[in-house]
Amino acid sequence: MSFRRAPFFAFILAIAVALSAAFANDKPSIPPQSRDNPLKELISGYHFGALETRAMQDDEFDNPGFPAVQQGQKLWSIVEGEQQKSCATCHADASQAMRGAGATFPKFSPTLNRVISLEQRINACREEKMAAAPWPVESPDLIAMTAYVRNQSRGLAVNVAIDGPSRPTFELGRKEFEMKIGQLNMACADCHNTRYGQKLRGETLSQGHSNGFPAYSLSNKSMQSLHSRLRQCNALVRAEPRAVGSDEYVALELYLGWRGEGLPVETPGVRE
Amino acid sequence: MTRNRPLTLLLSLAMLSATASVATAQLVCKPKTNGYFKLVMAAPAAAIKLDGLETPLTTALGDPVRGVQIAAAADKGNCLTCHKIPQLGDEPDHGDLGPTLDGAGLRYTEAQLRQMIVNPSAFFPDTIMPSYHNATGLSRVAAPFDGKTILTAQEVEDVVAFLKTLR
Repeated sequence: MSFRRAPFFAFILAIAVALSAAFANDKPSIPPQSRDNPLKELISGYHFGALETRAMQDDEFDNPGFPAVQQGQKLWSIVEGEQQKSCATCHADASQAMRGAGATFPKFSPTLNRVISLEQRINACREEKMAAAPWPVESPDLIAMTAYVRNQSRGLAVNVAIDGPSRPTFELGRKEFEMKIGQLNMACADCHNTRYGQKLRGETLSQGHSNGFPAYSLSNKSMQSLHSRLRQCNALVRAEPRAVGSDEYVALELYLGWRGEGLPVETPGVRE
Repeated sequence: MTRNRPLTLLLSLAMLSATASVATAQLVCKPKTNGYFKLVMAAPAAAIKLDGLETPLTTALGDPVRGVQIAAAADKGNCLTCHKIPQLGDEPDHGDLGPTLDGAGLRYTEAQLRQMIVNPSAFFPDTIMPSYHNATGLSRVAAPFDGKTILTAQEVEDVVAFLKTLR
């Protein structure tokens, strides 16, 4: 072989290496579980983050969301309310009792006769079983306990029920996702169904999944509930945000759960 | 053989840098609904049959200098959120939801540019670009913006005047 050909081979090699690098860098996706899903591939928000953000999420010591999980763990066995109970009194070990539970919310509550979020389930427990005051909406304790319970499902697939008594709520959530709102007249679907991966200013649009929530927000420098994130999104299109815990947001959360069904729970996710 | 060594070295370097840049680059997923404007973008200007808005919104002429500022301002046109505008200088953080605005003044007439700002969906039915001069038929508009258009009539004319200069 003549060395004169070396540049040619180097060139071919460069293309091969670049191609393999490109494929190695492809965002892992899973197929949607329902044919009705508007997405043809499901990609967790994790994969839209920078390498450092992903590394941060993966490392329990670096993940800035873990202090909230640890706070939740502490709260788990604190006795409160007239019944002199803690979560641990009834549920004992969260790692066993709560494994998988967080992946199924929002969920229909037969006692409350409506679909409720995990936050609302936790507060219902406090009121009904512990006779303790519910934690205020968006309070650090409520977010911490939600993060702790969801964290027990880390790695398990999101799996919500949308049929039977949950159906009307699911349909409301779908409507909420597809409705154009605000002065900018945009729907969640406009950006997150077909335009993910494209750039909105310096940010890459994700598919808008809920599997990392409550998540640590690097821009807010704090833990963020899913509903708080939805409010931020609504404000971006100059729409009046809904209240945290509103029926519409719980419905949207159910729809998002279904839309991302099969993705692993990542709580606490780290998002930019 | 010795003659080729520097070239080989250069190519190897190029190979390394190509690998590095690909490894760090964000993967661009395939957009599925943007085909229409790409089709229009690729068409020769004369082939574009789009009804423009012939009548200016104001009697005062648009000012391209003010138009630049309005186009760039985040609380006004905020064009860079979705578009690349090379004329606004080196801006690495522009969005790419819409096409580059470079050459917009060549591709479209003034009337078409005006229509593009006032009612983009008249041109591109599946666009998500909002109408910049409409305050009706909207839902749940946040209180500070309720009843207001994104740009005033004069601001629309200023932006149109700026877009005309993008040749």
